[in-house]
Amino acid sequence: MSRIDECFKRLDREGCRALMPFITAGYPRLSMLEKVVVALEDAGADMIEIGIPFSDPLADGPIIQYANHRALQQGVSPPAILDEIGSFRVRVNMPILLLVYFNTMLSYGVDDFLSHCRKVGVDGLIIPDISKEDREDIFISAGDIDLIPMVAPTSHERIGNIVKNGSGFVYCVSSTGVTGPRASFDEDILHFLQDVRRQSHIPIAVGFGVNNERQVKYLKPYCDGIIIGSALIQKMIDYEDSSRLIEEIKDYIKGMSSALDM
Amino acid sequence: MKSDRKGYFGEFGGQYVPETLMHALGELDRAYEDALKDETFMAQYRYYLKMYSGRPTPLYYADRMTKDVGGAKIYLKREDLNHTGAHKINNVMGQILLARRMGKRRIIAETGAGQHGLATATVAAMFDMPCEIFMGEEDIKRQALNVFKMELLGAQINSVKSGTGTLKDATNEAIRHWVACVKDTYYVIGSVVGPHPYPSMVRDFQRVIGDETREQILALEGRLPDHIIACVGGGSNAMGIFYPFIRELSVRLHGVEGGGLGIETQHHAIAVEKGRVGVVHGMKTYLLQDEYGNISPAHSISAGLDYPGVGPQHAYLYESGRVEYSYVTDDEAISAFRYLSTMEGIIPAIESAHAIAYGMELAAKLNRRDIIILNISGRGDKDVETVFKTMREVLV
Repeated sequence: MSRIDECFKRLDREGCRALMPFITAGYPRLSMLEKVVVALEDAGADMIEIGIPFSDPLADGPIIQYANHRALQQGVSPPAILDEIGSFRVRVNMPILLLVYFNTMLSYGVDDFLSHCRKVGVDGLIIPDISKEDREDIFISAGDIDLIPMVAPTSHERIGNIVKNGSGFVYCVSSTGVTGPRASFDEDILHFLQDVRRQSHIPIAVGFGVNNERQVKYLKPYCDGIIIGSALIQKMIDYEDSSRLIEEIKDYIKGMSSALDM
Repeated sequence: MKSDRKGYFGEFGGQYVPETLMHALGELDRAYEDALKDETFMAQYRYYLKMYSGRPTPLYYADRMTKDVGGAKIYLKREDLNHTGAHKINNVMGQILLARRMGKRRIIAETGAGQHGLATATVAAMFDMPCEIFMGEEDIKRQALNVFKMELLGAQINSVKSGTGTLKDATNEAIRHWVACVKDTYYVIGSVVGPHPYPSMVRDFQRVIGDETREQILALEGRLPDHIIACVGGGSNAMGIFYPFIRELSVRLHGVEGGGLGIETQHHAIAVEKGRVGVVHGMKTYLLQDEYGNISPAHSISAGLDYPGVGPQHAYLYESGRVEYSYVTDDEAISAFRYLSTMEGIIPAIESAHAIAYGMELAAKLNRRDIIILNISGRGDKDVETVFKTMREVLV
């Protein structure tokens, strides 16, 4: 059983949902990655998603694009990020997932990338620009690393096939569009989540656009986990040069965590 | 060279896009295959190309140029004479008719030089469809005239500031926008790039260039040409003229990329020779990228060739050796731009000037029994200011 499976099992026993913050490696600085990850775990995060910055992040809105851009400006590279994760892995208990665009893996060499991930203790991969059809090849070499399947409200009849071979959890894209805060969610999302849950043998988590406690409370009966990305990065942008950065993101995630557990 | 079910040409192509788009791509694939088989649809497509765009375009024997170069006989395929001034409208007409057939209400497109945006805005106006064009901030500056024309036609221009503010970024932004409103919006891609079925579909709507060329050269010369030359940004005019000749192995095919300031510099758009296999804009192909897979900015004086990759079919045709790829620098293109203007009274697009420069060099090495065809993919009105500035810099 993978670390991600164990995490969901434990939360299920406790009657809780997983809170999964997303951050971009190298933003504001790669040297802060450990501090940020540890702070998020302290604040109640159950898993962490670390984005590998890429020049052309197709699935991302302006906030995460900005973080990617700033990280790349500093020359942050995938091998340096993986080594950095390896250096603090023992001091973090929660599962660590990477969000990586496919060209980053392809350029590194898919097998080499996967073995580097394995070496430093990465538990799962989210690849936002690879379809079920093209993912089959990677499945073979992924081994014990969970490849997180993604479904969207437009997936319809594709859902069954996408979740079939997935492991870890199913990443449900809340609504059409790129990453970034949504003002609210309508009832369509609840039907969509029920549809995915009915077809999935693994937990399901929602991401894209979730940014406040009201939304967390609205969504939590229909899923096993919630991903908070752009809203957290926006907090980091607001306090980019401030000594209060760590405290601010902790407070924000604490608020989300208690909304999720209440 | 038909792509198989999954939309691959050898190892190139595919559908590397967010899951949100996969359903729409499946729907598009089925709709386009149905449409190609529907004689009523194809008759409508041909009707508009003839009556609205002015096809067939001439295959013109460039007499003065031929004598001046002193080698092969040079023919020019006059795509510049299309309505809106380039081959782009062939594809746009097909795709917008398809959008209507699919019941989509709104049109979006990316553009580099503005020629594809202009063609899209034009056909959208003719069919009374709302239209939004994504264009890089840098290109908006370089192509002010086309921007004004698109606005005049009623299109909304969305200035893209992310990345390098050129065609690559405009394409990203158009895809991002499409992800958000995929239900009622049709995305008209302007070249043989993007996820399947776009590379195949755009080729099929551009092959009219090659089909006409074939008929015309047989009527004029009674035989097929020895060489066909076209410029390659994403590569739609090249695919269009090459495709009907792919199986005619006696016809040598040449694709010419934007050489920018030269292959030894960092400022060029030579994706085939200098790129590595990678994934961008939903396709696997040759790409200019750094050692970690970040896409490198391309450079060409021509906004239409300023693209860090090529369509996946070109990657395949390169690997298979069927098409020879080369490049022409900014300076060489400017010389050819001026040359064709004074020699034949035809001001070509700066993109097409790359094919002309290469073709002149090739023709000079051949003899009078050889026939070469240059694809003049567009006219140069939009580039006059750029060339004027460059010439003035040289003079000052």
